[in-house]
Amino acid sequence: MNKYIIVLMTALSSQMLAQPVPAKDENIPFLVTFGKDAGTKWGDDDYCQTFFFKIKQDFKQPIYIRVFDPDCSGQHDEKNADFNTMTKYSVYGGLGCISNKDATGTDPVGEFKSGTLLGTKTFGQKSDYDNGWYTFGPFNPSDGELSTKYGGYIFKIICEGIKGDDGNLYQYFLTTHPEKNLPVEGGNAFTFEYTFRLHKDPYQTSHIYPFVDDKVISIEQRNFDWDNDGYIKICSVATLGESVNISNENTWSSSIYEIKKAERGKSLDIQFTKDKNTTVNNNNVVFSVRNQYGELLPFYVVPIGGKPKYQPQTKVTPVGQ
Amino acid sequence: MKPFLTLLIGLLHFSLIGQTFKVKKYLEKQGLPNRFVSAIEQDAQGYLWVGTGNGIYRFDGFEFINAAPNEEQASITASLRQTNGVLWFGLNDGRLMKIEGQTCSPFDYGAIQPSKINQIVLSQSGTLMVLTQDQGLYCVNAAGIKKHYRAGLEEFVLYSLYPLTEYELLLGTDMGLIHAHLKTDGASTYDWNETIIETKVSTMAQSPFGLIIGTEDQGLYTYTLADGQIQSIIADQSDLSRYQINAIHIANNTNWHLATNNAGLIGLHLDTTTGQFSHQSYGHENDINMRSLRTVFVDRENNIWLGTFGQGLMLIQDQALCIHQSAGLQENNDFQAVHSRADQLFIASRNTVKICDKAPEKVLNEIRVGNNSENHITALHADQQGTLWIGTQLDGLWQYDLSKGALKKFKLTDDILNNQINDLTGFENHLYVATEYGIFHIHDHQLLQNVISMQSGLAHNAVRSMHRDGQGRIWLASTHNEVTYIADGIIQNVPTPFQGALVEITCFAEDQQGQIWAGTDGNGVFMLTSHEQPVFTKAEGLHSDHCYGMTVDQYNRLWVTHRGAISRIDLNKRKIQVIEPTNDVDVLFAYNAVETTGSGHVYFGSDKGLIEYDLNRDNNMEIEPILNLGHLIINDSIYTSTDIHLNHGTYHIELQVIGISLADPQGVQYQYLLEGYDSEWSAPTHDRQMIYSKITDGHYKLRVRCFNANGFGGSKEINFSIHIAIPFWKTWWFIVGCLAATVSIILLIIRYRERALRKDQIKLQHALDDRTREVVQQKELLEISNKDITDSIRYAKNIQQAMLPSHSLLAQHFPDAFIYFKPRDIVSGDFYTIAKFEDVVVVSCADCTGHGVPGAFMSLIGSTILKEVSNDKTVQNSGQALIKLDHRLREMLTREGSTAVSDGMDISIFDYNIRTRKLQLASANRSTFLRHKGEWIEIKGDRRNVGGQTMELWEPFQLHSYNIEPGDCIYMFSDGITDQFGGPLGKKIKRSGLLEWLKTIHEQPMSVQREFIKTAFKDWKSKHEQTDDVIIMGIRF
Repeated sequence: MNKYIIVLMTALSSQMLAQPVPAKDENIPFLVTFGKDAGTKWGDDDYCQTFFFKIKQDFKQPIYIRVFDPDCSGQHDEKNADFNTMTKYSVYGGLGCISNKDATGTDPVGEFKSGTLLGTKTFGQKSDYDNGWYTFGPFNPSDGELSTKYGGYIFKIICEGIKGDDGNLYQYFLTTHPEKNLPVEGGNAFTFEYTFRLHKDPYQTSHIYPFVDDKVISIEQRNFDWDNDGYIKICSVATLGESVNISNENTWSSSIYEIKKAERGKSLDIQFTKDKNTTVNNNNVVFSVRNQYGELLPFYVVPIGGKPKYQPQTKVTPVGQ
Repeated sequence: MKPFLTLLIGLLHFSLIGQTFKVKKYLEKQGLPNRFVSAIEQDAQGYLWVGTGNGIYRFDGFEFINAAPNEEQASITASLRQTNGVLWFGLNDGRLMKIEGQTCSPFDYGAIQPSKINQIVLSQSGTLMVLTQDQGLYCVNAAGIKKHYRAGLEEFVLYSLYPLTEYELLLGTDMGLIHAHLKTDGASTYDWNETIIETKVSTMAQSPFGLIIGTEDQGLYTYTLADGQIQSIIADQSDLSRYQINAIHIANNTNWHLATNNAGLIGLHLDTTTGQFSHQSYGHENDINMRSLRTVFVDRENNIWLGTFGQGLMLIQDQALCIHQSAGLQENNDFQAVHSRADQLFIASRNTVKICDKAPEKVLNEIRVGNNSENHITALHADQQGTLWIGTQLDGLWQYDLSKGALKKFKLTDDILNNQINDLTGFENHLYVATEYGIFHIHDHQLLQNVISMQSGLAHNAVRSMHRDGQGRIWLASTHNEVTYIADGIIQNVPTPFQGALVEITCFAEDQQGQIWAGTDGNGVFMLTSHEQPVFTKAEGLHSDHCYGMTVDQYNRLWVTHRGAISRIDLNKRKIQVIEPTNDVDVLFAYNAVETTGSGHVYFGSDKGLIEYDLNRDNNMEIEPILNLGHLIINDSIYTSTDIHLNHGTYHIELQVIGISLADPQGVQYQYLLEGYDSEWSAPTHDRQMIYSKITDGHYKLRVRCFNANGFGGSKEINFSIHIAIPFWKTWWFIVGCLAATVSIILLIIRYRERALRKDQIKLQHALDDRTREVVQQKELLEISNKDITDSIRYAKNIQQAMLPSHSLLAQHFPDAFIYFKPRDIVSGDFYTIAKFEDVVVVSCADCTGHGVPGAFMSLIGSTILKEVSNDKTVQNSGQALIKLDHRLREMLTREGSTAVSDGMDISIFDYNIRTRKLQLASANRSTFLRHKGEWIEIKGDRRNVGGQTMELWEPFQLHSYNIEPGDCIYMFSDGITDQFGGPLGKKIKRSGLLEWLKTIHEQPMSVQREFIKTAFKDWKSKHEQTDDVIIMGIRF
């Protein structure tokens, strides 16, 4: 039943054209991956980030995965002394792309590069694509792995900081055009561990949206290197905002959140709000959510079922009755 | 230094004009189910094998047939064609498919882990090498021994492979080119050429100049096999790094094709004289649908096939044909004039002339004529003095000094029509200007005279175009019933083949034999200068009868532009081919904007751009289609053998073939011949199926051959020998046997019949003998009986004779009288009586019915009764005697209870009173001649006989009375004399005949008359039988 709900909700959200990663509703400026020589205190626990793209099964046109600012130099990226970081992007499809259990873990271990490599590119400091887009593809949608659980063909893109100690900030876009960001109808993107950069502006709140299926009773959130920068709250249709344990510099923190009945089959809204009194620049954070079985919940860049809006349980009686 | 090692620098040109080629796409609508094409191969039978995102498809020009595997995610990633025709296809899941003939089957090359196959190679020693993306290299040698090399290669993504030796490889990886050394234990070491190639090496191809290495974003490199040197290829002063190269096709020594991921197809051409590379875009860079190519393949007919990733299979239909277009406004692609001189090409769109070096993409200079962009340039002519003359639609004639770059207007007149230029032509320093109002002649930049118009002798003022031929004649195109030309300043006309009808001439061209051809608006094309004046119209295959411009190429082919298409007439073979520059756009060609250059190019100005036909690339005209058998079905059974033996019967033969010419599959024509049935080849047909019905016994040879769309081919056939057994009854031995058997049977039958006949004969002889004996006995009995009867009758005759009165009795009463009595048989039915009672002599002459014995009986009865009647006292005269006689006969012949006898007698009877000489005569059914008083009187008797008719009443017989005078004669007779046949005509004597006799002899004595009658009767009767008893009595009173 779990997977059917995902498929159904994914289908319902297909009109949202959620190919920018991060998406607008997330209000996250960039994804971030550091070179493997950087310390984890920079905010990246494993120097690797995996994202999945879902294509509807009946979509037959070529698709492209574009990376914005894939290099690690020039604009946007986080410099540690001199830029020396090599970042490798690899696109996978085919059998095992997501069905391999290592592919959906939080750590780049085992066969996390499962599936068929469809394209790979390593970027260094060349400015060819600085503040610009690099395009992988075209890909045949059927070159992805067909997954009934996730409702379509799944492509995986792994970003690895294979060398250096700088932070590479980037974005993705799933598109039908090699040079333009034209969303793929019915497409979506998700990850099981989010590593992203927060806004400098403390008044900006970032969101990520884990999907809670009907078997979830409780979840455990884990965050890394939050730097005690403000608070992280869980909001939902049944919760107005429940703060979770937050981590400090280069540390992990976790807490349990009990899932309410009304929250099942919907997305939660994890809100990241910086401390307005202290200024923590270039704050990067790693975040993941597991259910009571230890299974990771996917974060869809566009929340399944839409952004959750708190619905008070109070009964409203019209005046005069 | 070898050319390919040289840093090649091209000429500095600004390619302001891009070019596109006519492309045919094969997508779902055309039958290709998957639009992601990564591999293309062609087998020995001509079939194209297309590797797609969901399997392999075989294409025959008409339909795609899935070979295997037809799975949603069975994406083909690599292919190889061995020289023996075996095809290999690798899949993204590591499977390897082998195709032999039409059979596709998986091949086990020893894969341990499934991994995408990126390349399949066959080494010189025959080892099959399968390069997987992340599972290393698998090798299967000719003996079938499998090896796997991965150790040391784990860190690379392997994309391409080139075997230097059996154990020395070049591997293209995601991190560059590595030189790998394979060990026999399956391990490998490598040298990494990362210093030069630091990016993904996607493909490698062997060329005449060494190994060509294609990269993802560093362009092309050459690799020297001898020393391993690597050098980047520069084309047109640019490295090719902007192209993401997926595949390289080496067409020949000088032409390569690059399939790129971001710019479609790129052509590379090596100029062997300069050693420089130039690159040619096929115009895909601006077409998102054609930008991403996975592979390029050139088939046996030199058709270029493109495997696109997302837009299916594409065919560049005509490499010789391309359209040059300017960037920017589409209006700028309306080319109205084109002209060439030496290596310079002049093309004009709107009010701008582009001066190009050899080719339109190499624009050297642009000239803008005036500021009015609507003032289109209509004609160009470059003279030998270095002046480019420019005719405009609205603003007259301009001249541009090519050396100085100076443009100025050349004034003709102020007349508006004089400044509407239609065409320019010239020679040396002479220029002719055709306008809407006549022609101008300019010499040495000086206007020689005023306008040549209708006042000068032209048929019309508006001259649409001109042509100066090899004889110096200036041909003028206008609407006229003749065609006008100017020779030595004199206007002359030649007739058209349209018998004086008005013809609108639009253009001219001169062929290699110096003949002038005219193109018309509505009447097609015709030759002017020969007596024959051949005409080509739509009926002969011309695209249209409306012609816009013409030229003749180096192969003596006449090119004619129409709206939407070009007709190419091979003047040597008189064949027409229609060329459509685009698939779906109606091209409007400009009038007279056709030019053939010395470099073998034909240019056409049109509203869709400048259309170029490169004659040097027109090279698939004489490639014969490969003829393949579809099926041969004979009476619902499929046959594959070429020597077919069938039992006797009637057969229905269905042959289906396909001649594979991928350049124009629909244009392939077939001819069929069933030797033994057909007398000659069938007429060429596009039908790929031929059916022969009701084919019976015999030896046949079924032959089929095919021709490409240009009619070339026919040298190779498919043959089937078909032997339908003749039935045993048609075999010679059976026929001979049958003849022998028939003869034997006939002989047996004859013998049998002879024997039977002989038996029958003997039996019959015996029977005959018995019968003969019996007959003889009966004959003897009959003879005895006959003799007895005859004796009896003879005796009866005596009795009858005795009863008849003697002649002496008659002579007692009538001295001069005679009786001629001649019975037919022995006895007679006729009789006569003579009696005398006192003075009355009664004489009768009777004829009883019948003759012979019955007649004799009747005569006996009659004479007896008549004697009784004569003695009856109550009988007073002859009439009463007859009544009495009649009554008595009836009584006698009729007994009570018995049937009345109808027999009777005819009788004449008279009584003659000797004293009174009174004669009274009555007659029953008999006539009597009386010679009375010198007159002949025929006394006809009553029309009834005596005793033979039923008469209820006693009717009296008429009594004829005469007073006889001496000498009168009377003749009584029976009908035996008058009814006798004979005479010269075989007729009866009749009473008239008898009377004539009597008239002749009546005066003779009666004895003489008797002899006369006896003789006359005998003569009359001659050989005829006597019909009845005869009696005649003559009495003279």
